[in-house]
Amino acid sequence: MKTIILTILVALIGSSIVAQEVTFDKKNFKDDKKAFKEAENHFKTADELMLPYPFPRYGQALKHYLKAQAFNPKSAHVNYQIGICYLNAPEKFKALEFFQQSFQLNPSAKPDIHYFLGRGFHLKMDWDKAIQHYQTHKSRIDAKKDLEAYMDVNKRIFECQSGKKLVANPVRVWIDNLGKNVNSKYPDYGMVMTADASEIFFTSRRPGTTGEEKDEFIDAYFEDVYTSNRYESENWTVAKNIGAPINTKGHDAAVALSPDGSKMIVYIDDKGDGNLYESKREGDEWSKPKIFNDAVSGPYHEASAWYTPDGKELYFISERPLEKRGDPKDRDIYVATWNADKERWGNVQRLPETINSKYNEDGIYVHPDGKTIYFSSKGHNSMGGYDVFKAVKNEDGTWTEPENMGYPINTPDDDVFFTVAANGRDAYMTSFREDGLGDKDLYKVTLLGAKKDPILSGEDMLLANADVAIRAVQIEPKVEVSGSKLMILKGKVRDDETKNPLQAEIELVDNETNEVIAEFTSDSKTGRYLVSLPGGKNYGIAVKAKDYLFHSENFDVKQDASYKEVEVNIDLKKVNVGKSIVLKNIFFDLSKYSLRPESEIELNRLTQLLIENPNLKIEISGHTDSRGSAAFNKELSKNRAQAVVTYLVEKGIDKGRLVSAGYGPEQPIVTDAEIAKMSRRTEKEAAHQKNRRTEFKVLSK
Amino acid sequence: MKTLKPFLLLFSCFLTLTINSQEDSIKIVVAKNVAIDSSGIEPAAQKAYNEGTTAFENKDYTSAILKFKQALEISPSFSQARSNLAYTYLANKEVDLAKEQFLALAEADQKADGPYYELGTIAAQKDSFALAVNFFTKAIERKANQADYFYQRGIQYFKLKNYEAAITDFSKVILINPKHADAYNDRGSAYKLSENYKKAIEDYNKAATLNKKSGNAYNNLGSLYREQKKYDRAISAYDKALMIEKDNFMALNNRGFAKFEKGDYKNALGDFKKVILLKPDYTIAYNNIAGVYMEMEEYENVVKYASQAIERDDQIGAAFYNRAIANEMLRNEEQACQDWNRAADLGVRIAEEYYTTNNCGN
Repeated sequence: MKTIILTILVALIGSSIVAQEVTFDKKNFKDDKKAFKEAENHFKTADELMLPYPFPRYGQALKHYLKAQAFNPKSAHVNYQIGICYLNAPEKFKALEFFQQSFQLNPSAKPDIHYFLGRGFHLKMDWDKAIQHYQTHKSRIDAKKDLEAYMDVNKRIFECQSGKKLVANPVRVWIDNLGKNVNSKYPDYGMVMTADASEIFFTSRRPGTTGEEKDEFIDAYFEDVYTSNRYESENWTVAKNIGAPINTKGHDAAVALSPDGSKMIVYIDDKGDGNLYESKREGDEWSKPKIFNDAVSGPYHEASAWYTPDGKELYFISERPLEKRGDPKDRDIYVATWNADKERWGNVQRLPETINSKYNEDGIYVHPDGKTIYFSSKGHNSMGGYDVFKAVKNEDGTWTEPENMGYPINTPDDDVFFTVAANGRDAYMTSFREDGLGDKDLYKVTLLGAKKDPILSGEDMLLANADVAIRAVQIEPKVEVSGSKLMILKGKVRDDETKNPLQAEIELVDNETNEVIAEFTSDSKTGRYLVSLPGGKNYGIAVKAKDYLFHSENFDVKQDASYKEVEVNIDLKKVNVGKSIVLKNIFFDLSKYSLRPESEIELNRLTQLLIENPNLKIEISGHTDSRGSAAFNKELSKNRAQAVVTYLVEKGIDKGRLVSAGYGPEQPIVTDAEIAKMSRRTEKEAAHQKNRRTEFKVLSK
Repeated sequence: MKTLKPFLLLFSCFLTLTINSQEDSIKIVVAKNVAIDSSGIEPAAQKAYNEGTTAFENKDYTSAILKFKQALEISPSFSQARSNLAYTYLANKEVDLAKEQFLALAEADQKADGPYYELGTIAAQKDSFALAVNFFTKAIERKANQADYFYQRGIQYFKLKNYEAAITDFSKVILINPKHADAYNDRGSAYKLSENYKKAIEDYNKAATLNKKSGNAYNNLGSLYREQKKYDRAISAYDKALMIEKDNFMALNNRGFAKFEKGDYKNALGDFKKVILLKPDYTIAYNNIAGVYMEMEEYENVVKYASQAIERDDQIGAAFYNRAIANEMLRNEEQACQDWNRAADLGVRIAEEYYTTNNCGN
């Protein structure tokens, strides 16, 4: 008897599981024909919206499916389709419950249901369950017949294994929403910024975009570029649409910005293949974007790029086919070099296979240190979709192994558009988070680096009769120095008297090789400039504008220098009698008056000034610091000034236009009394250094 | 720790001269009532001398000095009087004058070892370790089998970080007196600092066996194990130290440190908290509590206890450093920068690194 009851029970339970499914059949809804008809319409419309290939209209279909599902929650098909729609929507994490429901209602309704259950668990970072479902799916694939599907599920399993490891060792970060001044409840993404992250540009699909038209495929506003900055305060200004000519009625997206914010790269889906354009800025105005020459903007899809800080190289992503592999859809990272003579980009090189995996790469960003790149890849040890990776270019041109930026920066979903400010600590990314302002938002990611260990201590009486205990301090934890090794020099170029902003040319010279590394221009409307000085060089900087005396700066940025931001407002002086300039890039050997070869560029600049202003008479003066014998200092400064005069005469400048003078320590920039007040040795040394200088003064013109 | 009663006065006809290294616990022995003998000392000098010793007993050092000087004026070769004068100067904290008298004593009697020993002690007190070594060496040259001389010289070598010489001297002490527990302990430390850990462990164990009243050798043994990351052995050694001296706050703090490094944060915290109950002014224990809270990610408590350490000692770089980390985690970045800056000023090198990587200067 007991056995019979048990059998009946098992039969009931068993059948009830399968029998739960209620298909969209009018026989099942005899009591409510009207509502059924309506739901059936939704269901049919949705199915049609799912047909276009390769871009089904998931967003629109989802709305209809949800209505159909509200009427009949027990359709395995509808639940499955809702899962698929969510999988292609921002709220991917919602997909799982619908796949689970579909599976419970009818496990055999969809042959690939285990794959999608795997996807659902994968996105929820439930790695083991995801792997289990992927394995089940894999066991049902005939690798010979469907190699692609087989490879795909294998890749997913590998992603889960990587994810498990990465999540077990999360990176220490703070992730903060950029706030309501920047973000909206609509999609905000793709942020680009100046090297010091004081000004940002990003893409938004908020109301108020140019034309206010919606993309009917995804039911969202067309993309426009917005901007915000924090020049005046720590808070971001309210985001502003940057308007024409960058923003048009169609999609407009900022892809890259030069470190000083003077150039922007925009993506325009022009002829269907998508290309990169460049726009230049004057004040708040941007020039009409101009397509990059064909070395970069070729007949293939290009959608991401970034400049090196010297502006001489351009890293970009392209789908151009590989000679050997011939796979036209593989997105890879390429680098092009600026040819100043031909005024075009050329010499395009594909980054090595160690960087470019056999899967897609995208979202390239070059750090202002000039050697670190951040990019997204679906390969390497991605935990799913695109993950952000970091790689560093070695001195010999090879690259370090791409390093996964880790969880929670990376997630099983796509993680693209990751930028790191010059300071190496502030990073920015786009993310869809439940606590955001709605849809995708921009987030600041503070990279805290490795865990900082506390220091504790103990004490011992090592000598039995000692009077003082000997303290045993825990050995200081070792840190991998994570900070950026560079200096950011920024500020405004202005007229010395009126303080009006000036457009000036900024020339960056490597004093060791005497080569001009890069040239920049300050903004004509704001005078703003920014130069990134990666560690390991002695930089000579000259700021020049027509009718003004040039201004020179010198910065020795050590290879292991810690990150520093220096703000210098450069006030250019008009070529007028009495005006003087410190020539910061004229160097002498210690206690001697022979000119060092690295002075040449500055000396030639001075020669050029005298050629351009043929009536100019100048005084060259030498100055020393106050240390050492006064007589020796005076003699030395005189000889040094004379050495400069001799050089100029050799270059053909009339002797009569040049006067040399040696003032020794008589005219210090920083007085001895001021130096005495300084507490730190390095500070004092810098002051003495400032006093040791060569100057020139306009005597007549 | 040894505690000695200051100015312990002994009556003896012999010059037993000892000055402990601790300034406030000087043991002075002044010879008294020399028998009137045939040494040719004037009776008037002897009278002055005896009056001097009485004055000394009454702690009237000024009078005592006067009387001993008087005795020496009458009989300049009256060595007991000179010796007593020297010690009275010491008692009166006139160290340089005492030094002069000891030098004169050493000069006058070419065989006297005691004055050099005293001179060595005075030099050691002034942290002139090399000079102290010279004096102790001279004392040893005059008297070769005195354990104390070797022991004191060994200590000076130790302080000069000449551990090899220290080990030789401590070994000599042990040869003369095989039950000298302190010499074993100190030699153990010299071995430890010369990275001869096996011998260090042997010596610490021997010291602990010889002196059952002090937990110090076990404490040192524990610290050696802790530094070698042998935490269970370390904890057991500290346990032994605490069995002998349950209020040994140093061993208790060290045990907490070992438990911390072992990852046993809960019990480490228990030990450190006991330390501050036992010795409320023990600064490093407050900082150690802060350190444990850091691992427990209780950053408010880190700030609280690191601040308490700083209140007691504003030169404690580690506490500024720990508080900086907690402030960073609490997102009080400005305070974090200030603390890192202070810690860097106080010599915590890593703090300087963090000061820059956290963009404090910008």
